Amino acid sequence: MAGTVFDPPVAGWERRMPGDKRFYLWVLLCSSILMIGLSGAWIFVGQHNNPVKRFRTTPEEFSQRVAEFVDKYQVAPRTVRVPPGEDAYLLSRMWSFYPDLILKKGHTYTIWYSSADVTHNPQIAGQLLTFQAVPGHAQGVTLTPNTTGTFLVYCGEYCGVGHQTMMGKIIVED
Amino acid sequence: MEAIYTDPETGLRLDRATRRLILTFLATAFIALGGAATAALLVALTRAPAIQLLWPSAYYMTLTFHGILSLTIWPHVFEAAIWLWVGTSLLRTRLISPALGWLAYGLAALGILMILGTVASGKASVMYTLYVPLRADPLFYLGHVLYAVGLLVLMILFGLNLLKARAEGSYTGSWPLLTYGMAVSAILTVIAIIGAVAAFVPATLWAFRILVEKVDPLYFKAAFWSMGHTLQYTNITAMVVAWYATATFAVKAKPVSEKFSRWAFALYLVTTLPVFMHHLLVDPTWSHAVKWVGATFVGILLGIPSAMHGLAVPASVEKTLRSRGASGLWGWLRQWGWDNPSMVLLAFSIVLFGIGGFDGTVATTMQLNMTRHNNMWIPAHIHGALAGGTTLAFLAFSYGFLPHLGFEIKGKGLAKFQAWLTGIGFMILMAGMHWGAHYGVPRRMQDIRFVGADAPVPNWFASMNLLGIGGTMAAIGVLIFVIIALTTLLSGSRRQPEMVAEARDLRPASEQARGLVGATARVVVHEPTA
Repeated sequence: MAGTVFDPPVAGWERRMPGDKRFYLWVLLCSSILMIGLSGAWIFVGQHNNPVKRFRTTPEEFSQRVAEFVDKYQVAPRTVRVPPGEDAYLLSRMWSFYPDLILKKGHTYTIWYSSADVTHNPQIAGQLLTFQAVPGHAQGVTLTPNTTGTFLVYCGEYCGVGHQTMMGKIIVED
Repeated sequence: MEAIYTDPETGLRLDRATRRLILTFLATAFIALGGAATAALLVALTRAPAIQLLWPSAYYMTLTFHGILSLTIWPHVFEAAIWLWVGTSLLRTRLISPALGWLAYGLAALGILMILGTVASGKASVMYTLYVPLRADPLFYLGHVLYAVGLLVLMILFGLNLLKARAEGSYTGSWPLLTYGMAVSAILTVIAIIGAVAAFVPATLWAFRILVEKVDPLYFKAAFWSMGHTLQYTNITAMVVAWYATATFAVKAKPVSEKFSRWAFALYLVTTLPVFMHHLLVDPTWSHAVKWVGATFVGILLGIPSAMHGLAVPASVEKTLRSRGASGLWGWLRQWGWDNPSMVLLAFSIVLFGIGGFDGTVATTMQLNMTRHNNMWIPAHIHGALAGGTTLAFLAFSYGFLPHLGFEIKGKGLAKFQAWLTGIGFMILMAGMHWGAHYGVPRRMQDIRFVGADAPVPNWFASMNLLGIGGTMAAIGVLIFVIIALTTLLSGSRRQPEMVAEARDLRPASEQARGLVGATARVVVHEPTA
């Protein structure tokens, strides 16, 4: 079985790699550099970015902010019409999202995500937009709704036995 | 007197103490795989909306079992057998201390029992990711710590054995390629265990409510994945080792270039370490630059060694088959060995790993991650890279390794059926998962009907039913394998050991003569200088 992977390599194995192997390595390296370059350009030149707005908080403090926000702009029980230009808050907790948000099409909003208990992950149905809601940390997600309609919000991070019942909604109006 | 087993096919020798340890680890791994596949069957039947078998608490418990058995336990216990084999038989030496091996096994087994026991009691349905502040039974965390210590003891044993073989001069030149690959795997494991300490020590204290009142969720997540994703590269390195070994067992393939393959193994060491950062791409932490360098930059570079191995292994088979008369551009592919379960699984493993690898590269790209995070794309990546890649590679390796250890595979026709069923099942499973991911179906959810929602609910049923079909086929295929493997082990080996008075050297007879010539030559060369 000499020369197989079960044996020490045949003497001289450390000499220069055959040309086709070196060529293949160059192909891999060049394509990787191209992809790395594009992904970097996308972030640092194209400004096509995930949000980096964040602050440290506590579940109690964030819940307090959400309560004040709801008191100020509430239009129906647990439903808030967010005035354009104002920041919105979305509290994740076992097992619901609070409150329901009404947004205006074509305006840019920052929605602050955080959690009152364990880690959650609000996902907007059909929109492929998912950011984490982590207790003790708030994260601002900036978005501009461009379609009207009612969108289901559900949880993407396993958060206990009621995980599949955790829901909320975002309404986009004209 | 010492009992030594010789494999007539390869001439490799193995002493009785090491062989016993290897068989124990193998049997444990197969039982864990059986549990994982049973849980997989229940999970697949629940995720298919047409059946939706389990209720929420049972589903989340079963899913925790499935994740822990197939990610945390099965691959590493199986790798333990490979580590022991490449550290002794391939280096023509014996185990430096079988007792240390049994200590590792005992600690790991105790840890495994604690983990599985707490999950079975229903107090630890927190998934294999166990993100704090989701709270599980304290013994669940302690079980992980014991399991990690067991792995660490095994790594120490493997390292000592490499030193022992070098000191004895039991082999000439460099390590065999498989030993080299598993050494890379061992280094990654040791680094991963540092991450495990960072994650599990605070979490265990927090769970027992000693000293630590609160663990920051983002700190835990980063520390957990600095262990978790590095351990996945332990699996991937072992998978590549299993690929090379399978090709050698089945068709006696030789690597096309030892240097090329060794470079690829070594590259894993460089590119693996910061890649865990991609788990936090959509979390409120770190700047864009840090996330881009840690996740995207390195995530793309990680593709290089895998792409190298992914062509080097089929190329070694191609070269061998061409030397046996395969003609034309694709003649070797026709002669691949489509009636040999080992080679069928090898082919599926390479293809599925390729698909899973691409999924991973997509998920590490920052702007794409926010469209993929926590939806079916992630299970698609895991089932391509880990289940399809590593698990199928280990099954393929087992079909060569068990006969190598002197066991005759039982149910050869069933084995052939199993290989195709599992491979095609995984392909369908992957198709369903990718289809679902395209529409954003969330992972780990018992019910996707969203009963009681007062907003339009998307209809994702077709993709998830397809997942159910593929998952059922794959799980049944793996279960058949477990039955074949356990029956094979239980029916025993007919190989008789040679009783040797003093077995200092386990080299095959022919090599011993060669080694002797080499030794003489060395003496001659060194005489004038001395």
